[in-house]
Amino acid sequence: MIRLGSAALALILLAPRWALAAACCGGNFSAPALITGDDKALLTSSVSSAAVSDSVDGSGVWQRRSDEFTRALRLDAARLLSDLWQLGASVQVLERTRDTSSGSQSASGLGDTTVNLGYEMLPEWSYSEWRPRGFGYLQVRAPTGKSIYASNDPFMLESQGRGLWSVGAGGIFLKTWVPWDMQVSFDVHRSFARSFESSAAGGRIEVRPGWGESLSLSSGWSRGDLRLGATLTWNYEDPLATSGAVQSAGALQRYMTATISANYLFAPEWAGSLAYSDQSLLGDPINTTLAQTVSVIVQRRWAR
Amino acid sequence: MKYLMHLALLAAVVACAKPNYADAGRSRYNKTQGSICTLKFTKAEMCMAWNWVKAPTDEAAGVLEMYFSSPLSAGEAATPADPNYTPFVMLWMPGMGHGSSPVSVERIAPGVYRGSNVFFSMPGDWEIRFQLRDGKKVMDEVIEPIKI
Repeated sequence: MIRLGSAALALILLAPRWALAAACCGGNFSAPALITGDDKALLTSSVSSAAVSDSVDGSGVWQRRSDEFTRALRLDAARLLSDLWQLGASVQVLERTRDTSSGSQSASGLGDTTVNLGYEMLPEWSYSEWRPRGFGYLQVRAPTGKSIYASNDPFMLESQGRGLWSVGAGGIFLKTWVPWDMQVSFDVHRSFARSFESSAAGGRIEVRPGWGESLSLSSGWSRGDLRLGATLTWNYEDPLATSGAVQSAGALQRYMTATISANYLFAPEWAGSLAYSDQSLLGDPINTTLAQTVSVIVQRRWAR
Repeated sequence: MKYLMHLALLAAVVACAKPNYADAGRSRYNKTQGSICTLKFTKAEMCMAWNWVKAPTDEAAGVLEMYFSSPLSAGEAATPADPNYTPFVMLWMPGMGHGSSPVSVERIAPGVYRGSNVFFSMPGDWEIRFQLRDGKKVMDEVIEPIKI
């Protein structure tokens, strides 16, 4: 049961945050590739399909949409460097599609890449009724995807990344009371200013981002090799101010994602997950697109 | 502890989103007409009015026309006039921090300029930024908010 709990928790760590990639214009800060179970290495492959259902403007007014879709393939790898330290990385390829009356238009490309360094702050050397297992991490996001500022496509479908360097820190805390498990995770990240030559702006613009945060609560129930889970995630991003050819103070962004998932342990080394996320159900979103996402995740684990 | 966390999750479920949808019949593209001095370039001392020649849609770009005139005093008739700097039109989405595809501007008559390829890539709050430029340098600007 404990083995199932740690495997399933490793899956639920990835599944709920995968939906965040559905947000506008290249996605947001993604979940780290971390080993949270008793493994020495993990390789995770995820395929997701997201459909934008609404756009919410800066005043909180919603508009229904059914014309934009995003499919993504993501690979995460993590490996222990020692008993407590670990290194992980994530890459993804995105395909964005816009439906029009004259047909569909699509563009695909490499998204942003993340690298993270993790440390097990609260190792589970012995059983405790209340003390969780805890991990801290530092993450760097590299703008390997084409940004919206460099895109000339009228639908901005070429935009696969955020275009900005970001550094963040976060924590993940897990606890299992068989058959129940619980997880709390959070992160704070800071993106850095960058200049772009923009044909839309007719000159050079400097984008000045700020801070962003997220908080995620997850709970699950296990029976045999099956685990059912639910996750709520809150996201916030500071306004994106610009200067140069465009002087703008920007506007903040926030949204909430609800996810349900089913995780299954096929073999000691293999686990799978099916997840559904919806950003239109809960919270008070502002200045964002909202999407529903279905994800299929397969994970290969190497035991210590 | 585990029961408190489950109660927290249950409470979050009842904090449902309350969608505030825009009126279905609302005209999504403003049409400004007639007024001689709708927008004022204070530094360049010019007036401008504009309207859609062909309003953009969700899938097709639109065309607008700009009418520049010398500033009015009470009782004076407007005089079409070309600005001293080059007119430039930029579409900007302040909330998302990005623009749209470039707008082409051409002079079609004294004081009259046409902007084509005006396309809003997604719904939301946009700005049509009418600028007067000297090369790449923005000499004056007026901003027209528009909800798409």
